[in-house]
Amino acid sequence: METLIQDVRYGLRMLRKAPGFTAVAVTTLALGIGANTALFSVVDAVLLRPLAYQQPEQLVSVKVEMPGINLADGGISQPELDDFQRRSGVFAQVSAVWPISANITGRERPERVEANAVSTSFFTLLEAKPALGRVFNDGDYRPGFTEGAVISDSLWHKMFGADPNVLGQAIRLDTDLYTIIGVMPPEFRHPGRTLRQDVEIWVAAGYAADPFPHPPVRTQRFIPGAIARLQPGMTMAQAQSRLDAFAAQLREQYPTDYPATVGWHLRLVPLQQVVVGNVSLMLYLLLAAVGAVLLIACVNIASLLLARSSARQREVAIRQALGAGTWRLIRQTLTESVLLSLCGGLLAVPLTFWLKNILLTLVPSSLPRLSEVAVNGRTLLFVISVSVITGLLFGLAPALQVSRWRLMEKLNQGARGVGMASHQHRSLSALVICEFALSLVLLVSAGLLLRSFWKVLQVEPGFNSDHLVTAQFWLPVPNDPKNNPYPTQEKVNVFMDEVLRRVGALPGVKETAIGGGVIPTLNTLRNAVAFTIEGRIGAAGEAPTAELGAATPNLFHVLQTPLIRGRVFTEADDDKGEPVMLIDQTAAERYWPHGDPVGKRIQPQFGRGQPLRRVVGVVGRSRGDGLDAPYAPHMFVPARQINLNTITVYIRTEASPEALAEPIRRAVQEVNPDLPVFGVRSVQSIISDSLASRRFALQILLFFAATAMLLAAIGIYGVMAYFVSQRVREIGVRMALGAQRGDVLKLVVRQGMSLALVGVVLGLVTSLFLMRLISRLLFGVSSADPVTLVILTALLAAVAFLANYIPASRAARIDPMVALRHE
Amino acid sequence: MIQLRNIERTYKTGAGVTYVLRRINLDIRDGEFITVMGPSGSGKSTLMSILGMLDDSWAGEYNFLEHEVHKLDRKKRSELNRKYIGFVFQSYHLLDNLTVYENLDVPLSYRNISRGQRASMVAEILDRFQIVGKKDLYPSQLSGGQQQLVGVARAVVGNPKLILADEPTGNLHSSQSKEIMDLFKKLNDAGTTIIQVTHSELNAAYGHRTIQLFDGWITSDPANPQARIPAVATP
Ligand SMILES: Nc1ncnc2c1ncn2[C@@H]1O[C@H](COP(=O)(O)OP(=O)(O)O)[C@@H](O)[C@H]1O
Ligand SMILES: [Mg+2]
Repeated sequence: METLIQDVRYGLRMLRKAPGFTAVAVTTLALGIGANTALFSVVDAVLLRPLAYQQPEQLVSVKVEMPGINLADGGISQPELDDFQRRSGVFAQVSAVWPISANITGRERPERVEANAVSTSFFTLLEAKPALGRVFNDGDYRPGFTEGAVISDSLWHKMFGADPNVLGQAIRLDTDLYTIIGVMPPEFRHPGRTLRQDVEIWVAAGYAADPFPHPPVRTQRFIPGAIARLQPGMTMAQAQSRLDAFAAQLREQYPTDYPATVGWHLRLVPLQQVVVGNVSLMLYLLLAAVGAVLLIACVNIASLLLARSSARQREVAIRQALGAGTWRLIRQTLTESVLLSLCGGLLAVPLTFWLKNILLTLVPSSLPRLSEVAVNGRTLLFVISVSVITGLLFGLAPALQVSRWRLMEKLNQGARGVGMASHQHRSLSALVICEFALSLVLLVSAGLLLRSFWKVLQVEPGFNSDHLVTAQFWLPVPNDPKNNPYPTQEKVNVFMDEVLRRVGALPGVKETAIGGGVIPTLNTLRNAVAFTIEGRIGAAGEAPTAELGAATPNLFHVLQTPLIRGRVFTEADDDKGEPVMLIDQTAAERYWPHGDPVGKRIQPQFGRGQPLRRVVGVVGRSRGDGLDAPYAPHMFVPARQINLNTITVYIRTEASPEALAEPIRRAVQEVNPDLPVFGVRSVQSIISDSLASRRFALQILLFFAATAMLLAAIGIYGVMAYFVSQRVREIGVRMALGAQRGDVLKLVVRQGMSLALVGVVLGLVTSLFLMRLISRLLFGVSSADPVTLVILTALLAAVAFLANYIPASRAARIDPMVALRHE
Repeated sequence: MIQLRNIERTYKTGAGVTYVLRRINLDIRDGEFITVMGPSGSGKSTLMSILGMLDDSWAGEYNFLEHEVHKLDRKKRSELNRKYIGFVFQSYHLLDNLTVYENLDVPLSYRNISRGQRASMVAEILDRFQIVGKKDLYPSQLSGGQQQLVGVARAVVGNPKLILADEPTGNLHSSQSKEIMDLFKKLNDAGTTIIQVTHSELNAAYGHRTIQLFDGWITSDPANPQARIPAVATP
């Protein structure tokens, strides 16, 4: 202990004696550790910390898979939900989760809210407690919707001014009357997918009476998802195998509802994974990248220390003569480097707050659990451990050197040559090689993401997003049909005509059209509906599905999506005309690979009593699920023949979306004052938003890669400058022996470049292995993309050359006369 | 072979300029063995550097063989150095990280000679200096005398017409010294012109002619009886 204090005191003195070096090293370390910590705080909140529910490891999401018809996330019917709860023997509790849009009316201004239809077990399953009032309990159960509703903290503030007497107040949700029974605390967040934002209101239903199909039918799988808590003590693996057996039992019991070719089965996914979604790979990539940057910074400091320590050889020799053991000397060196990095870590703490805030402005707001990001005890623990580890890391090389000196002394007795100790030379070379290898790996990963981003931007969306603005509203779906302001298709059509007429008359608006449901403009809503094809019987197993949307006659004209064959809808395709339908190219190719779908009749399986619809045309395909998502088959019903509730107005306009927002809202509310208008946006900004997480990863990684390259350049520059300073006399001798300035230049550049190139090759090989891990983040480019590899290798080599050229040209200017005097 | 006319060499120092060589006039014929003597700091090494084409910052006229060195640029001077001149240093200046063999190859690597020819030239010189057995050793594994032997071999390997040796035995025992001096004698007998700097009368005796330097002036040159220190050094 006493020797440790001695070592620390001595170390501090040594750091104070070299203020320039100390300042550079501490700043580098502070930035490196700070950046790592900031990113760690995000990763920790999003990925590492368990969900803020009781025993989160028991929470699962139940996924329905039907590989036979290419469905990875199918719906659940009410009888199935019932079976999960009562017969599967796997779950303690099960709840439906159904993200929906709803209009709240009855307050000053109608609002569109993010709602979620759940089961009465939802909150007890999560063991979530309300901040005010109560949550649903078994007594609330109704076959249809319950009367009570639970609201979020944000809605409580937004609509009710945080009124403590909110309990018992009535609100109209899609014109149905609900009573507020509870308010959730601010930290409670809905575990899972939502439509546009955090859930603001929860309602519960039994899914067995109006507005749902009743009596319930096993094949009407309209509930989009379910979450559950496993039976106490049951592991994921046990639960999955029991559920497999249960699914098999159901398939046997109801062979017509579960045709063998569909391959209906159930998969349990930890709820944490569902909440986090697919950002984990990206976050781990960024964490690895920032770690690599710190590693490179360490290498730079190590090489500075190494170069410095050779100047301290004499001091060490004297200490050895005074009886200091090798271990003691190593410890002294390590103490110094750890002290250095702890200073860096100390400085990193305030930096972390700042960097975290910068990071949070860049992070796409769709990242889950963002509100949980905080600098806390865990973060501080991270700072300390990273500091100590870095200190040991970059202190290792100089420490090992110290342990070698004694040996070297003997070897070098009487030597009167020119040059530097070869083992020191080797360690510095190895460090430079590592730096370049790491930098190339980072550059390649950034390069691949950049190429992917570029490829995504090149994707033809299938419609013209230029000057295209959308606005949305939601036609209410009251639980009680008597409350429905649009009970008939005719009423819906009158409403739509009026909206189109008024919006079309707004200044700057050129053309308008209406679409509903899933329309191919990067709408992440999924609405896959099964359909049958007339005359194709017996092949029940291949029950085709397609995303369902609605369209007015001019929609595809406004979107500038081409008609491939047949015709688009006309004004005659209304509630009185023949039931018709359009499909897109993907659907046509998938389900009529050898024939012409036009004229065929199909029957979509939604709602009750859907008629057979004649396919009148095929339209071009669009990237409906995002520019980087695969094409999905689509089908469209005339907007005048179906009410799809989510209505999107498409406006081709010269005006900006900001300028249009208010006039559109007024135009719609002149028709119906209870309809809130939301999502008035340019389609280009929707596209841009859909790329947010890709862009974020790219920006951060580019920044890290550039930093890594810069650090590597500084590193090789420093090491080569040091090498040159050690070789002054040698260079003088070589000049006396006939070397020209060009020869000297070549000598130094060749030495530096051979290090850089070995590093680059090592990095290339490493990249080939590592980049496969991130292939899921790539788009349209292979993880071993030769163009990226060649360009970045050349770039790094060029940077290395420049960094080498400076010390080399300095070496070439050495005056041999002076150099030869150099002893 | 060599004619120096009014060679001056100055250094700019903080206070002004210091003269290191002053009005040097010197003639050296092909095949001569010249000794340069003088107290430390008198400018001997500076003179050797100018003769060896390592230095460019002098004024005056320097004719080397048929070349007017004062009119040549760095590249041409460097070429002359490579073609005609070999250096031997007081502290050997062997390259640490290279073996004896590789050290001998260094001067050849800067000439336009094929690899095969270089190998045979090095082999020949190893043989001539009887150090074949040491060709794979590093300098640190040799004694001082052996190192200087390699130093001389390295100067000779390119078949120079002129060898410049700046205190070549300064770090050696007398027996080792004698060995090196005998070697120089042999080389000179074979036709190589040699200019050596030494403090030893014994070594000077090997030469044909001894030139004395003092404070940058040639104070004695048997071939040039007018050489002397002026009574008052002109600034
Ligand atoms: N780079 C330099 N800058 C200033 N003075 C120098 C430099 N190199 C040598 N000198 C001076 O030139 C003088 C002659 O040096 P040198 O030729 O090495 O003498 P010698 O070899 O006879 O001992 C000395 O006084 C020395 O201090
Ligand atoms: Mg000297």
